[in-house]
Amino acid sequence: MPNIDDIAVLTSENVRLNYSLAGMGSRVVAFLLDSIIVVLTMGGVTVIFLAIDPATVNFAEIESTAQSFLGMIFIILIFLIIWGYYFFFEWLNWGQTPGKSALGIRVASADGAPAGVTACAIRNIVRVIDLMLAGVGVTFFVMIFTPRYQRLGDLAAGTVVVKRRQLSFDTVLNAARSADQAAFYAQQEAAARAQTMYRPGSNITETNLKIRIDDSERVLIEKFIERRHMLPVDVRRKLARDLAARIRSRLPGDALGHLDDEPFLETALATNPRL
Amino acid sequence: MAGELTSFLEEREDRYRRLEYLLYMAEKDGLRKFNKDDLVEFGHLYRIAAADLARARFVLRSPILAEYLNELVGRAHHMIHRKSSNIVKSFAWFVAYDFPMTFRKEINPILLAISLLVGAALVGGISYQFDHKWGQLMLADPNLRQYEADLQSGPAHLASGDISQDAMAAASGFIITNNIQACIGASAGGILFGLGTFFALSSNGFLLGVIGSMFLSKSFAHQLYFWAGILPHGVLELPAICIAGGAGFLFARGLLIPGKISRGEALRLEGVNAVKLIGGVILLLIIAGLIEGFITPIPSAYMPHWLKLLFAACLFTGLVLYLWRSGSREEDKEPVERAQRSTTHLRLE
Repeated sequence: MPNIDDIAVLTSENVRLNYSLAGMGSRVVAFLLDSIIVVLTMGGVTVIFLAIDPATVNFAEIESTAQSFLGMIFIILIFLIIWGYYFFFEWLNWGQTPGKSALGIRVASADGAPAGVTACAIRNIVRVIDLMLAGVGVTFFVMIFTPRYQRLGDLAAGTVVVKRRQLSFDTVLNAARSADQAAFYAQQEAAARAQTMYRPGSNITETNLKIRIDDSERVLIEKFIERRHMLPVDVRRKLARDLAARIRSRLPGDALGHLDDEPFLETALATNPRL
Repeated sequence: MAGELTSFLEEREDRYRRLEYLLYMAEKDGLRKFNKDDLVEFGHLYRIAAADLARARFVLRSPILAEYLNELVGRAHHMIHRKSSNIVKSFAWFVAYDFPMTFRKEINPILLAISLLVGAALVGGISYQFDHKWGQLMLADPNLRQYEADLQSGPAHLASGDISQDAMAAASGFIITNNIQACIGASAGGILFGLGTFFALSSNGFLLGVIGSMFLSKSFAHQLYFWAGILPHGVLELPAICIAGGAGFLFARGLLIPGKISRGEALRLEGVNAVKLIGGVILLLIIAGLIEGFITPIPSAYMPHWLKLLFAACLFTGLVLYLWRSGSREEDKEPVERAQRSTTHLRLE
């Protein structure tokens, strides 16, 4: 499946930035990971305080002021872990708790920017209610029925959870190099096929045959070819005609005009391999 | 056989890698650590990458390069356009001006919360007067039953206090965290169309009413004890729960009465003020918890009841003055000027 760009933002340089929303699965897994970390941290803190003095954890045994202050620190630490874990990580770590980081997702405001302190506070205050409702499954329905998979906390804070995927430069370069090869072979093949379909005397050669299609057109053609056998004949013809007309309009004159719409689309796809 | 894209990438490699490195440094330590040359270079590389992103999409038509640059440019964009503010200064601004200003702005939902709490307290008090058992039944909390039992045995017993001197700090920590959790719950419950807030306020008010009512029929000494034991921290805790309730009703207002904007947008806008109120509530509860842990339990031999009541009166007056007046001069200023003061944008030119 191609990436569906769910959020588009225009920067001041007039360049569009796209962000894909995180799926519910990765969000739930990230939450479970975070929960494990929270519980383990709380357990660790408790063990440390028990080792110092059991009375700091069990208030009924407190006998001295020192124990009492340690107890105060203990209870405030536990409180901060429970309530501060998500808030501080999301606020100060570019929208990522360790769990979200592991799953490659982050919290963002509606324009894709890292969520601010207010937004992080709201979504994590309302988390109590979301967790309560998740117990009876309501949270999942809320997420399904909101257009951006938002839970109540996200709705109140105006935040979304998006994928954060920074490809490495090497990945891009390698893909480009292997695409060069693939394109070379595909072009040879397509040219060989196209040549057999040319009218005699046509002056169109392999070099000016390059049909440019963009990403969305590629997806459309792929979907069309995948499903065309299921379509009623007239719908199939009309779709092929519309799609081909859009691409043909960019070709010089009547080039490839002799090709039927569907072979034309297939040729277009073959000369533009996916990267 | 290097294609168009490959040669383009080879040409750009150094710049992209440099931008990646600068971004890594900026995300780790912030742009403050950059010197002037780094900043200029960062801005320059950012603009190149942004232009290349458009190029990758519409000229090179390479989704993978577009995806790579999309994330890179996005990160740089957020880095450049991020509001940078001094946390200490923003916090001081919030405490001194923003919280009381928000309180005055959103006084209506807070008044609603206050009336709900008072109403529930009246119901609780009256129902206890009618039938003590019924009141007791509502006091499901075993601590409160113990409280009532203690009460029957007289003020002398009570005066010893239930928090020993040694345990004051721990008790204070417990009270603070417990109250904050209760108030956050009451506010967050507003997202359920106000039902959660309604329930939290009315149940708390009811309990208060029952307890108050228990003391109403007792002797003057009893009543003095009661008020001295509840008011020093109560004058902060009760306003805090009301403000938290007001924050909850803000959420509810956004959901139920969005006005001319969409429900989601209304909820988000109300949420900003709601979280400011909750921030203030947390501060009030920290102070109240410290008082409840360290001052309220002081035996009357060291701090007589009248002194505690005087303390409570001063504290309440201070709170009222703070919420009523603080930041009122700032309110008269132009909103633009205020915005400029509270945040500064970092410019890269």
